[in-house]
Amino acid sequence: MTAERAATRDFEDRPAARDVAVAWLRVLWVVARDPRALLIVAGVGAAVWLVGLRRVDITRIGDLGIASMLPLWGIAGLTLLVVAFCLALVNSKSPAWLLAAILLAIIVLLYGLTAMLEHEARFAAAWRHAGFTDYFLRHGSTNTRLDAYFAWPGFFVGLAFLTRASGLDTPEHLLSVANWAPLFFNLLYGLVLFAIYSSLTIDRRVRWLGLWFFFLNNWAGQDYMAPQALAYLLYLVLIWTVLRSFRTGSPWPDWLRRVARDRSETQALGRRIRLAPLVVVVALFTALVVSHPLTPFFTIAAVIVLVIFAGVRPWWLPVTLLGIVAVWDALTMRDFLAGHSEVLTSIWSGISGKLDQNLAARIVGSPEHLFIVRLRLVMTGVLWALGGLGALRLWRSRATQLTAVMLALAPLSMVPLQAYGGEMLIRAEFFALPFVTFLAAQLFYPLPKSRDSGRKTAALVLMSIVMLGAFLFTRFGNERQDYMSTGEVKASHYLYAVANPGTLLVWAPNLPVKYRDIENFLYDDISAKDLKTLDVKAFETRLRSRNLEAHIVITRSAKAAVDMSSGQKPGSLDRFQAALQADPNFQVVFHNQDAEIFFLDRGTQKP
Amino acid sequence: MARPAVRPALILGVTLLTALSSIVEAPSQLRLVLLLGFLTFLPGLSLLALFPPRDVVSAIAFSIGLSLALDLLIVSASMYSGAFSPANMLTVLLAVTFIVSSAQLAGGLGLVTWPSISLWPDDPNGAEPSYAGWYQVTMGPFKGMWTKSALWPQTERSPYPGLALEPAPSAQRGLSSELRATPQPRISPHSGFSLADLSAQPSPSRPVSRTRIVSITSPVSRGGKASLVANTAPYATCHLVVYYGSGPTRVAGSGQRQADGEGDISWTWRVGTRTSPGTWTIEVICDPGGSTSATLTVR
Repeated sequence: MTAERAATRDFEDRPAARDVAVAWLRVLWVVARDPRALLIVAGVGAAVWLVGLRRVDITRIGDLGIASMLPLWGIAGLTLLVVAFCLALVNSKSPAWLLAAILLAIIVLLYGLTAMLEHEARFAAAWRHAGFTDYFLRHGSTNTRLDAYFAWPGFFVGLAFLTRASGLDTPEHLLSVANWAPLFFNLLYGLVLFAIYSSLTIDRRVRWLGLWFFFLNNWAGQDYMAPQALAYLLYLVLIWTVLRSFRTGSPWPDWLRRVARDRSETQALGRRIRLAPLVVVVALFTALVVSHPLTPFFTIAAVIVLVIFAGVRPWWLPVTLLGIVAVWDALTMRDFLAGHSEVLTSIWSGISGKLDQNLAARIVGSPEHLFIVRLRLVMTGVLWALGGLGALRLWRSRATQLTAVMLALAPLSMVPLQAYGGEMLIRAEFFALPFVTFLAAQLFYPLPKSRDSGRKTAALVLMSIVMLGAFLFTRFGNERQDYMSTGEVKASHYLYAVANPGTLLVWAPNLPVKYRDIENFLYDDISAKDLKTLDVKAFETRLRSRNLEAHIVITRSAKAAVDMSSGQKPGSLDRFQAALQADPNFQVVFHNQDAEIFFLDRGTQKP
Repeated sequence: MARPAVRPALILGVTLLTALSSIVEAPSQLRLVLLLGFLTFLPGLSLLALFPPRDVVSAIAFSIGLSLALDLLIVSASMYSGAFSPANMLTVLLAVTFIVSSAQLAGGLGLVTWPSISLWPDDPNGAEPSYAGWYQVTMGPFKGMWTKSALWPQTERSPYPGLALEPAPSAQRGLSSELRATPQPRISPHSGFSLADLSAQPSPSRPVSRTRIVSITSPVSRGGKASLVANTAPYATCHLVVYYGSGPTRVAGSGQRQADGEGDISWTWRVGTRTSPGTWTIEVICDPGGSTSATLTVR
């Protein structure tokens, strides 16, 4: 009897299960075709993600960064947004507002993440930038002898203007909103990138997908409250202006024209030089030159390849830009170069050393940090591979995007020229990113007539989920050291409240300091040798030789930086701190859960 | 409010709001948000009158770049001249934006007519500064179409007589009366500038051609594939004509084509293997949207 019932139930259930599956597929199909339904799915996904964020306690962050603290169901919410975007993209009838709304949501959720989780401005560099602004506000001028950054003061003067015009007392107050800078800049990047992509293709799917890939791969973190974030925006606008207004000729030399024949997708019309865009380009470039040292050279490299490969005329445009940057740097950098001639000589010092600084020197640290670094390398490789395949697919379709290919390759030309403190490779990747993501999008849609299919949609969803998952690690994987806790900031405030002008401030790197009165103090650091030998007496002798009062600051983020990425043994700074505590000459003057400040008097040594 | 006046009115409103927030010393966070928005978009957006954009995307990109460049150059110049004063600089930026957008608003409302200022010496899309050279096709499949190519057989065209054209019956099939009766004294955004014109929309008496060629494959070899991408009015009906030595040829199939909702339209066709080498005029004709032309080099 029981067996008979089971058989009957099995018989009855099978069609029922099939019906349910079919019903679900129908629901999915309806959702996929209905913009309002997709918007609701995206909205639910965003809400789930935001609720998930409430579970994150940033003070307990580990070496894998924020991603390891996110609840899985929160990430599932973000995945819903990804699926909604991909379904909206492949549906040719999806309105542009739907794609824009989902993309906007993903930008806000990803690039506003640290602002939602953290109370204090992250990145030690952001604090330093507030310090330059503070100097300018107090003196009304810059000082290249004090710091080379002052040779490119545009951003800092702009911040000073913003501070005072908005009624804030000091740039320190600006730091309270500094964590929103990545969101602000990325929203603007998105607008300008859409314009660039529109000038490269008429296929709206490629435009949106290129943007989508860009925001799922912009892990370089150069979009905080920093000159390079603003300079990058100006770079994008300049490239767009040149693409839009100066593509009046043919590729040069002639053999390139033959290569590009039948395939070169664009040729702007008209021959005469246009005055208005030329004025705008010069204004943009000048603003860029006064704001950042490196970006002008990436810009010139891009304009040179545009002249050669994209028919941009006049040919002397890059020469003009080079002239502007040469004059500026000659005028403002004399003092700096007098003491730092290695900046120029290092150009000729060979590529291997630069690759060491850019790559090998960065692959050190804790196992979790190494995972993050390697994941960054892998995802960069994957994206470039997708871009390369996209270019290849275009070539096979006889529709090359020579302009985009060359704009993607141009930034790499800077890598052999300067190590830029080991950051050049990251910067080059950042400048190439918009065009690599554009080419990666072309892999899915090489031609405007390229059709969508179920397999393509599935590949798109899968690729986006992989990119998103990796992005949460590559972008926020270093957050343990980038994040500044309230305890650390309190210690920093205390330091500036009690330290007399002329005092020596000593720290391991990565602190929320230098945000005020930068010219009133002298600086030193706890060196790698100090951490290795733990020789506090030698450290003391070194400090005393300067015949100054000294404050030694040790914080949570400094320990994180030492443990994660310095190559020192984990806990090195903790042990050094313990050694200082044990030495009676070092007096603890401030202590909380995240920071400790020691004081060392001048001693008896005379100058 | 008249549509041309909406943009300058909005700019004016936000400018006044920013100024007001500073005058009444509103909370700093509010002022910061307003100021960031103002500095990022508005100076450039108001000056778009001098660099008229072709579309919304261009307008946004241009206004961001122009605004930030202006902000940075002004503050840097003030620093190096020793005259750094946030209040004065804000006043300058607000004043410039206020004056320019007020002038546009007055023009948009029809209160003032501004003289033309030509900042763009050349229009890449072939806009003509005068009406000379335009004529109407009098026979054949393109009868009634206005064009400017001198390659069209003399016997099949009549010269453009001037502005006082008779409007064609709107019920006539084929290209619309507007296209035929308004033969391209187009007020191209880049051929000349008047503050009033810039914010003005196309009107029956002064139509503005919206059609522009985005890209074209040229040169192209005989037997090779050529493509042309254009942007025009949304859902416009368009034809593509090449004026080869043998006469006008409708390419990419014989039928007309419709632009999509964003006005994008493209053609891809194979150039005949027996086509004569040379440089030929190629023309995109849209209804609505007007026409524009370029050259196609066949090797």
